[in-house]
Amino acid sequence: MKQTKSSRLQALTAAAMALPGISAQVQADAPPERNEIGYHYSQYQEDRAPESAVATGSKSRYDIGTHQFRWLGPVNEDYSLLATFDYEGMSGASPMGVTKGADGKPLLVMSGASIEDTRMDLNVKATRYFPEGNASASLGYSTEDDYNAVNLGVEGEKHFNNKSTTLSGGVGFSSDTIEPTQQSGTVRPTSEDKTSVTGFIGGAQVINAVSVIQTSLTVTMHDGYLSDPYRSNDVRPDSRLGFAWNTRYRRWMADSNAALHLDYRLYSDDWGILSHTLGMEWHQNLDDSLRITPSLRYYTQSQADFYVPFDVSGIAGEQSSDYRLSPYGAITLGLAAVASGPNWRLRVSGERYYSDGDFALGGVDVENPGLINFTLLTVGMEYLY
Amino acid sequence: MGGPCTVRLYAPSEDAGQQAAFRAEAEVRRIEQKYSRYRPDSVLSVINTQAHAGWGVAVDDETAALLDYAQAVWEQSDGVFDVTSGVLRRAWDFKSGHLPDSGLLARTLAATGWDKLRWQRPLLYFGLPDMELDFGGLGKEYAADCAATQCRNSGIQHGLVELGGDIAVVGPHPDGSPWMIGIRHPRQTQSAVASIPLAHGGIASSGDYERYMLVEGRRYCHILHPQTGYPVVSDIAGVTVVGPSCLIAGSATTVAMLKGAAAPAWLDSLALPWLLINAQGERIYAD
Repeated sequence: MKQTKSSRLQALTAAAMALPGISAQVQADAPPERNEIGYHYSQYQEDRAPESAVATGSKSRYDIGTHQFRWLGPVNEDYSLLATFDYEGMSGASPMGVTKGADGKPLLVMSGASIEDTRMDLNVKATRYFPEGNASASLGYSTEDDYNAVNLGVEGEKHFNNKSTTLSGGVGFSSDTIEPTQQSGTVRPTSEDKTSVTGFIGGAQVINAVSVIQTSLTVTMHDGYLSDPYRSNDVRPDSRLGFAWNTRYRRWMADSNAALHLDYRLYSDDWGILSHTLGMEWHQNLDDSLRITPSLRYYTQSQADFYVPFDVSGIAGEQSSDYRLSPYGAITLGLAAVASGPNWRLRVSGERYYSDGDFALGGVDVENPGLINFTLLTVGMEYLY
Repeated sequence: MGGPCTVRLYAPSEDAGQQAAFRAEAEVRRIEQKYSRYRPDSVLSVINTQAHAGWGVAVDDETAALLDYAQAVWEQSDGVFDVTSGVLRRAWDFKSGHLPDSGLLARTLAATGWDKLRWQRPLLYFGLPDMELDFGGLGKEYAADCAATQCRNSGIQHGLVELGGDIAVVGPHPDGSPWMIGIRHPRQTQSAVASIPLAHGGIASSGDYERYMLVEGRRYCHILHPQTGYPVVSDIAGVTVVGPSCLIAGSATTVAMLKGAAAPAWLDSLALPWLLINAQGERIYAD
């Protein structure tokens, strides 16, 4: 490079630097420059319980429709604000327990009539940007007919080595109250509380031009009423301590104009549940404005220590026949398409989830009859202005 | 924007990378829409229509800054870089294989010349009814710089944006090493003639290979001289310039193509690294 100062070049540079798109040479973390507004609708539908798996009650399982509204925008040069509002309508019946059928096989005892509930959830998050990182504080409130929760959290991110390394961490707190809907003939608690504290630390490392790896460790402590008040014989410990280790690998495949995402999650808690989740996504760009993403996820878990395949009435101590505490495995198939334009993005996705005792690592002696299969369909759009 | 657009980034997370790429793409589309001469609703079309009608047009800050820049290049290039020269294309049809009608060319030439319009920020007046503005020589390069700025504003420090062969660097590789940019041979476009390291700023190329026609064995390229109305007949097949921004690099290549035999001297006066490839495929350069 020549060291001589050229007056011609100075004249051109001065004019070029006056251009708004070129002059802003911000190297630091900064709030988004424009507002982003988004709306997502998702329909979650569990398959009906098969006739042969139900002893009594409704065969319909949960059906949940969720509207999510989202707004993200800059407040000033240092701050941004993110607000989300969810409105969820839920209907269906839920398992109240598991009984032994005439042939000794487990059968579901379902709630009789369909349950109707709505949930509203408002979350606000403020982020402050620094030259080499950012810090956020969030506050949320969620309410249902029988449930209220308040949560707050702080988290931060710091970049190192020219942003090729990022460390992150955060803590969260949630206070929940459940006031179960009463039903004549059953004894249910009137009001119970639960508090939860979560902490996480994580790191991301850019490996080279086409790959990055992220890993994080999350610890969650729940304390209080952790049982399901709508189940007949559900008594769970009043605390739960869980660890989750997440690792995500991303690789850009230039030849295919695609990206490969590999995820692994290990979870373990003091209820005795150990689970593994393996996920794979292939993000295929078809042209500048369209991307198709097929995905495959495998999940397997062991049972909780106090899990029982059949409810036993009138005994002391902890027990639960909840399928979520049973040993099982699950496979999820997904397909998503994202179309984008100059200031908008449209997303359509579908997911099909199958759970089964046979999918579990190591196999299962007595499969819980409450295991679900579901379909999740989502449409969403985002708009920048 | 005519040609492939590529964004390559090192991002701390997938979300950060996607958000930056999303913003970069939105920025390129914004500029393309604003300054496209093919879109009747573009700012440029509105300016051309209103100024054509003889009214002064008050332009926004960004357009004003681009006009100031266009004037600076016009002055520094002794008038060969001219954003009013797009009107000459009315006379030239590069698909026809025929030279333009001399009467039509004379009329469009009469409507060409930055000195024939009046630019008093923020007001622009056309001195003649047939004049029009064309940011074809600026828009793509400016958009590349703006997309790179969007990436930086999204917190990305390492990456590059390429729009149809012109490149704006967001920042070098994370270890500080430069990007290696391959320069195409002007006549054998599949092969590279040089590899240029680039850690900051931008790089742009121009050549007679982009659009041209052969008439009676002579090559007429699409870069028209605003003072003659004809392409410059010279020995230069292609030129590449490295600049503090893609915009400056791009304007320098356009000027070099129009300067013909005087290109090396003019490029030297700019004191930027440059590479010329002549019709015989020989490389002449200054770094």
